Amino acid sequence: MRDRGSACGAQYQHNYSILATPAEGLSGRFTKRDRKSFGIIPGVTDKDYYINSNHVPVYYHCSPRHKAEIEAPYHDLTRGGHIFYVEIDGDATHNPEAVMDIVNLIDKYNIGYGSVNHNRNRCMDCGYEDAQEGLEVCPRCGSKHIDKLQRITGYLVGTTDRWNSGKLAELRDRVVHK
Amino acid sequence: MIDIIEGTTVDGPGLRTSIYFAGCEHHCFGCHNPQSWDSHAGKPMTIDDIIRVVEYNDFNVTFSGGDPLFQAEGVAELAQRIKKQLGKSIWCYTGYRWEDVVHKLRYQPLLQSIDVLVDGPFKMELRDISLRFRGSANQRLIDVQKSLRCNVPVLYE
Repeated sequence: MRDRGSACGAQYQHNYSILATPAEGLSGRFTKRDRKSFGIIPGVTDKDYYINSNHVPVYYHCSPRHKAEIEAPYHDLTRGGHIFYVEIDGDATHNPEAVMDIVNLIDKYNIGYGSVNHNRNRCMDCGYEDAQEGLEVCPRCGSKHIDKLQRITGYLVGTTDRWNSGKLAELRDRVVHK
Repeated sequence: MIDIIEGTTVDGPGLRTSIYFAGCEHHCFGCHNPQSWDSHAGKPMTIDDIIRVVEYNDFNVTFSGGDPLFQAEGVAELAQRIKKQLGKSIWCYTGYRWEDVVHKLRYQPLLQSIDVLVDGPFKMELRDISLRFRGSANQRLIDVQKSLRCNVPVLYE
C-alpha cells in the first residue's frame, strides 16, 4: 500500500500518504457488520471491537520495549499518521522518569508519534487526585462525584460515559505494558 | 523465582525490570504478594536466564519478592553481574530495617552492589498511596553507597 501510494504521488504529482486506521467509531461498527455477514470467526469477529491500526492486541501482555519493537516498522509504512502508546501501571506523577524512558523508546525506534496512557481520578468536590484503579469514593472527603480520566486512542476524554460500546469493550480487555 | 516484570513504573524511577524472588519470613498483614512467601513458589531460573531478560529490556533493575534478602547469596551474585556486565542501577526491597542488616556479614556482598534499599516491613496502619515507591510511611528509600560511606542511613534524593 505504501509503494502504491508513492507511485500515485509520482504519477499524478500530488501528495499521497497511507494513514494507519484511527478507527474510533469504526472499530465497533465494522465488527458488528462483519459478524452479520461472516458469523463469529475466532480471533476476528468474536470480540465487540477491532484493534486499531497495527497495534499489538490490547489484551496481550508484553513489555513497552517489545511493543515498540513490534509496532515501529509499521510507522515507517504509514507515514500519513500513526500512534504508539504504552499503558503504564502506576501513578505517572510519581514517576516522570518513566515518561522520559518511553519518550526515549519512541526516539530509539524512530516512531513518529506516541503517548503514555495512565489513569487519573479527580474528586469534583474537593479536588483530591490519585491514580488508583476503580476508585469510587474520594478517600479525602467521601464524595462519589469522581471524574475518571482515561485515554482513548486519539484523545484525552473525561469520564468513560461518552465512549461507544465497542470502545468500552476494548477498555475492559486492556492490560498495562510491563 | 516468582516472576520478572519487564517495564514497571511502580518499583523505582523510570521503567524498570523488576525481579520477584520467592521466600519471605515477614508475612506483613496486607502484603500485595502473599503467594511469594513460600520459598518453593514459582520456578528456578539461572542467573544467565535473568541477565538475558534484563539485557533485552535495557531498563534499570529492581529486586522485590518475597524478600530478596531471603536468598541473599544468589541475589548478590546476580547484582554483581548486572553491575559489571550491564551497568544498571539496582533498587532492592526488603522487609528488614537497614539497622538489622548493615552489620551482618551475610548481606555485605549484596549491599556493595545495590544503589537503593527500600527498607522495613509494610505496615497497614501506615499505608499511604501518595508515597513514591513504597507502601507505608515507616519504609525508607536509602542511598546504600552513601550510607555505607557515612555509616548512618542516608535517604535517597
